[in-house]
Parts: sequence; C-alpha cells; structure tokens
Amino acid sequence: MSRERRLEGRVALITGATSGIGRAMALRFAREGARIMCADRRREPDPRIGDDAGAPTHEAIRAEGLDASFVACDVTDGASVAKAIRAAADTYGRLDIVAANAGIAFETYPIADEPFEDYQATIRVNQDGVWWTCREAVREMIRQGQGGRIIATASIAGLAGCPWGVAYGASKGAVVQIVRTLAAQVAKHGITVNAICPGSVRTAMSRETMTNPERNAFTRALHPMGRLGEPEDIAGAAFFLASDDAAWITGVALPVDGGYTCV
Amino acid sequence: MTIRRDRKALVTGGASGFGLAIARRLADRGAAVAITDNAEGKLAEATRLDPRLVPLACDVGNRQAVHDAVGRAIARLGGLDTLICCAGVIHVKPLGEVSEAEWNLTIDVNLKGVFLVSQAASPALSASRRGRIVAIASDAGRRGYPMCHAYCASKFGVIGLCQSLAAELAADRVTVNCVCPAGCPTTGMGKALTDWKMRLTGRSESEVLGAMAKSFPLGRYVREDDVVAAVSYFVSDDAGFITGTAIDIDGGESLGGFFPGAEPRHESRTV
Repeated sequence: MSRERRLEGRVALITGATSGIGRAMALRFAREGARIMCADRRREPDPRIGDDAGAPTHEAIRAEGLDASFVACDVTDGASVAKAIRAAADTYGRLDIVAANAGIAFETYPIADEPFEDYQATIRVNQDGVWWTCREAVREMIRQGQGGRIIATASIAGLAGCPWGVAYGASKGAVVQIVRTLAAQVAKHGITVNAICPGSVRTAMSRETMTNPERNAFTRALHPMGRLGEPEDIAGAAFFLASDDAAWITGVALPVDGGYTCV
Repeated sequence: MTIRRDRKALVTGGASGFGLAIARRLADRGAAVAITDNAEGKLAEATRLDPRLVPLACDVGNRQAVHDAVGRAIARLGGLDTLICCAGVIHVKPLGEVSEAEWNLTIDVNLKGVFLVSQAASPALSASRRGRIVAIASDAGRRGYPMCHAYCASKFGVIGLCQSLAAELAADRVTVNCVCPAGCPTTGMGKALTDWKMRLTGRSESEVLGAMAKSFPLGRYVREDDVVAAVSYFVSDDAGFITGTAIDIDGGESLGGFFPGAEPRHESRTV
C-alpha cells in the first residue's frame, strides 16, 4: 500500500489486466487507492504461455485488502467492451481512468513469411481494440461530465522501426495516432489521452526474448540501460499519467524504454 | 511520486521560476538541495524565502565557475545524485535586431550551461548509481517560434544533448530526460513574455492571458506545479527505466491545428 494513496476515490478499468503490464498497472493503481475493474478475455494467468503463476489479478488485489473486480472482455468486440465499461461504472458508481492496454504479438516474421491472418489478428486486438476501448471510455466520461484519463499502451515499435513484426509496428503506430488525435478532440471535456511506449518488457509476450540467450543479449543491447523493462516500470509511468501530477499532459507518447528510442 | 528522502540535488537557475519551485519541492521531499544563480541578490532572496536551500553563485556558461559550484555543492550536500538544469534566458526580437552578444548569451546559458554542469556533475552522478539529470527544455525545443532564434536553437539543442547524455550515461544508471513546458505566465520569463505581447498587441494583461489560455486544448496555461510534478516524476524511483525522453507539458498545444474556432463543427454523436 502506498502511503500517499494518490488515486484515492478513483475508479480504473484496465484491459489486459490478467497478466504482464496490465496486471502490474492494476496492482499499482489499487495500492494507490483506486478501485479496479480488471478486464480481460481470461480470468486466470496461464503459466503454460509464460505468465507468472498466481491468483487472478482482482483476487491478488483483494488479498491485499483492496478493492477490485473482474469482467470478461474481448477488446475486438465492441459490445463486449461497452459491457465492461458499463460494469465498471455500475459496480463502483463512476469511471475515472481507463487503460487501453490489451495487446498481442506473434512471433517475429520477415514479411515474406507473415501470414495475413496473423497480421489481421494483430490489428484487430492492438488497433481496433484500443479504438473500441477509447470510444466506449470517452462516451462514459462525457456522460459523467467530470473529465477522465485514458492511457493506451503503445510501444517503441510505434515510434521507431524496430526489428520485429510489421503488423505489430503498424498496430502500435496506429495507437500513437489514435491517442494524439483523440487528445485534441476530447480536451474540451477535460479528458486527457496519453500513450506509453514500452521497450522490451519481461512478460509472457516476450517469452522468446526471455528464453533464447542470443535473442536476450541482442535485445538488451538495444536498450542503453542494458536491461529489459519490468512490468512495474510501465505501471509507474501509467500511475504518473493517471495522477493529478499529469493534469496538463495530453497527447504525448511517453517512451519507457531504457533509452531505446534516444539512440 | 516516491522520491527518496536522501537525494542530493543541484538545481541551476534555482533562485526563481521553475527552478525555485522544483528546489523547494525536492526539499519538501527530504532532499538536500543546492541552487545556483548568477545574481547574488536573487540567491539571497531565495534563501530568505526558503533557508533550506544552499545558495551557490554561478554563471553556468563559464566552465571554471561551474566546476567550482559543482565542487561546492558536492561538499555541502555530501555528494550529488540529482541535477536539475533550469537556468535559462530569452531574447525576443526581430531577426535584424538581434546582437551577436545576445545570441551568444542565450546559447551559453541555455545549452552550453547544461553541457558544462552535466560534465562537471557526471562523475558524482555515475558514482551514485541512481543519478538523475532533468533539463527544462521548452515547447520552443519542439518547433520554431518567431523572433526567438537563439532560444529555439538552444532548446532544440538541449533535447539532443540530453539524448546523447542519456545514451552515454545509461551504463551507469544515470537517467537523462527533458520536460518541455509551454510558456508559464507566472515565472519571471513568462511575465516578460506577457509584457512583450501586451506591447506588441496593445492589449491588456487579462486579454493576453485569456487568449493564451484559449490556445491550449485543455483550456488553461501551464502552472509551475505542472512542471514541478513532471520533474519530480523523472526524479522518482518510478521513472528508473525512462531515459532520453522529452515530455511535452503543454495542455495538448503541440498536437497542432488546435486554436479557437478550429473545434469540429459537429459534436460527435454520443449514444
């Protein structure tokens, strides 16, 4: 529990909250005093695909004596996203913070070998999913009339040409532009919209980087700080953007990348 | 933000404006803080206001003065792990009227100053294994404004310099980041710019400030607290993996194309 509880009284919905960066965000926001609606396709972390074993995120939060719930949510399905947003607002009586975080990545292909189905699936989750989440979040925040915070998880692959899949880079570049455009559009409602652009982070999504020593060394070398990011590094940035400290920051794409994009 | 209570910070330009506000916030969070200014009078005024701050007279554009000031800071604070570069000057003049001395002064203070102070402080920052450099760049470090040639050039330069430092010092776990605030009307520099706009347009202060607030999508102009908060974030443990970045603190101004009258005519349909 944070001594300061800087998100006391806020309600946050986080997509992709079951594992990785989303789970770290949910835990951090909860420890700062927010009540959390964890939205994900699956409730349980899955060690078979590399998630850390453990209780579902909302149960882990409750085990700390804090408040969280779970709602099933497929971000590629607008009705499902609308239902999740509704569930957060109904359960907790308001909605202040939405983290559009759910994302996927397929194993890196050279484009000559990239199946179109994988490209399409990546765009559907990473780009369409952020669009759905932002749309439903903005509708709810405008309805409430008290502003709000939207934080999207993009990637350094949305800022730079990274040596990974084309579909992933394209989808994350789209996230950055969704954020910039939406920030200008909804500023007059007191809603800020920002993106976080993580470098390589130690999550199940980067299991190939974790387990392949050669790939691990190559990836670490791309980050001047010489290590991969931890989910908590990204959650710390999300907390800053959700806090009162960032009230006048909107439309930015903040790299949290150990220096990857500055060299 | 969680700022370690035992931080040892040097804030250049710390006697006024953003620098003073940041120095006082760091002191509030338990840091030992030294401030520099080239004017003894301003330093005396700042330490009267806040006796916690250690005053160091220093022209940041002068290599020897910087070397001495950083040495005194390390001696007085018992080390150094945090450097906040706020010292800055601005001249606003049509191109034909800018003197070489004005150009040189702006580049010396705003750009060379960051280089010299970083160079002098880097051994201590590296040795601390938790070093932080944060420089105040500007929205004028992102795009051009008329009649601010040296200022824009210096602030573009600061961002590039910080990216270079970030890449080099990452191995020692020193992070280097910039904040890019839009003009803040309550700082000395901001007040001077407001006066200049009043003279230029013949409008009153409230008219100038009202028009300025409207030019930001979030509907108000920057407050010192906005900048202090972002700098505090970069200093905090939360930001240990962020380096080489420059964050806009501009209420969405840099998104472009947003000015009064430019809002979409048709409000989006809300179901």
